Amino acid sequence: MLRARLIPVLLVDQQLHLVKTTEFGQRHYLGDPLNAAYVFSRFEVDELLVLDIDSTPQHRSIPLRFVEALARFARVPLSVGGGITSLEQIHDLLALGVEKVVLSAVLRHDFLFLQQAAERFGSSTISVVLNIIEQSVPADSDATTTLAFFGRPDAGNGGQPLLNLAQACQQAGAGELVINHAQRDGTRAGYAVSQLAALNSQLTIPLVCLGGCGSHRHLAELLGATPLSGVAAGSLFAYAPESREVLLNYPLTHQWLQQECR
Amino acid sequence: MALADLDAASSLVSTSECLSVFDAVILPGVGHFGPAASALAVSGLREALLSLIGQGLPVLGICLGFQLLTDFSEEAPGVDGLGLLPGFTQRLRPRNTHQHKVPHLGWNSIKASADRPRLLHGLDDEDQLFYFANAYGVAAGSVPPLCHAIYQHESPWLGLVEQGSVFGVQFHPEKSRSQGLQILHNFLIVAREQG
Repeated sequence: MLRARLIPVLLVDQQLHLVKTTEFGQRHYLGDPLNAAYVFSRFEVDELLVLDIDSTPQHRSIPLRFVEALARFARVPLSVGGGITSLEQIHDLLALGVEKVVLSAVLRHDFLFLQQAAERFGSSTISVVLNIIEQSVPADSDATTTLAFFGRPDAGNGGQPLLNLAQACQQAGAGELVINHAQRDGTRAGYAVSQLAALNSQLTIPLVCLGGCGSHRHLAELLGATPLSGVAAGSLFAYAPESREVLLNYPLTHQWLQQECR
Repeated sequence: MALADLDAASSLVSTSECLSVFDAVILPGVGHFGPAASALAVSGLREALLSLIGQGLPVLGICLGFQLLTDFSEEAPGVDGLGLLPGFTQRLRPRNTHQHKVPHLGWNSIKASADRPRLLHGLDDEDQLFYFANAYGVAAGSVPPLCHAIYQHESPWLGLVEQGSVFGVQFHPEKSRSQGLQILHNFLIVAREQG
């Protein structure tokens, strides 16, 4: 039976430093991403997701030479993203041995690019990140609506209801959706379980959830609520428990998950 | 890189010249059946491969490469596969889409036939997981019983097939930890024995 993947997320900045963000804002320096990739590779992680978070604002894509080094240090399945806007870039990344290429911001103005990429390279190689925020509904103080964005969830960026955007991506050939909760990012306050479970029940493509994980309990809550294809986390695998001390970890959580799933 | 770890010399080949110097061929796969099959035909590799494999050159198809060994694929109507493994490739279409998503993505286990595949030598397949990334597959019931291993994705699909010197795996052995390297190692042993 197919297992739920447990996926560490590595964010790199323009100086190719490994960083951890909080609510897509404040950055904490963690160290060298290639070293981290090597460590996670030795831990035999299910998959590694690496994103260059400064690439889109700087109108460039994740550096090929960096990805080449990454592929050399990491023998685990790799998903990489950051400012990808052309089929040539996707081709070059896949040729380096990357399993999946991650698209987001480019789809804001060129949604057709998703279908083109999926048709050319196969949907199994194309992953889409949707960044989400929850907004309170004006008429009802208790209710919130979940808005999804390609790229940064900035005001005026044209967020759309999560289900609509997710289904559009599915229809266009995305092989996988990664839902990244901007407000829970780095908070270790838990996943938005009910919204994610509701979404997963409406989709036929794999869903990976990211944003808010701080403990095994959070993972159990999410996976207990819905049969997800994968769970991703940054803080959980970068820090010692309940601390901001950098401690790259994975094996204990992976072992715990194997036992939970038996 | 996995091959280098196993001390095997390898070259990336895109034309049919010099193909005969090799002890074995690996058909890799990431992409789309249509363009891949057409590229093999246009480059002359299709004919060269069929001829050499017909003479006993061992071949290992990986992921899309495995699908290319079958007769045809639903992904590219009208395009011929290499026809080296009986059967065809079809889209994964689970009924329960809440539980089973497409593409089939991640780590799954395989179960070998009683006629145990040579590629699995040294591996106890009960708990071994392999990394898959496929939206299309070869259904277990669609081919005559061959030496094989299946994976479950609502229904049984072929994860590994062996027929003579033709081998195919739906998963990515080069990304599947030590058990994946073991599979590649076993293929190299076969290649040396038949060389």
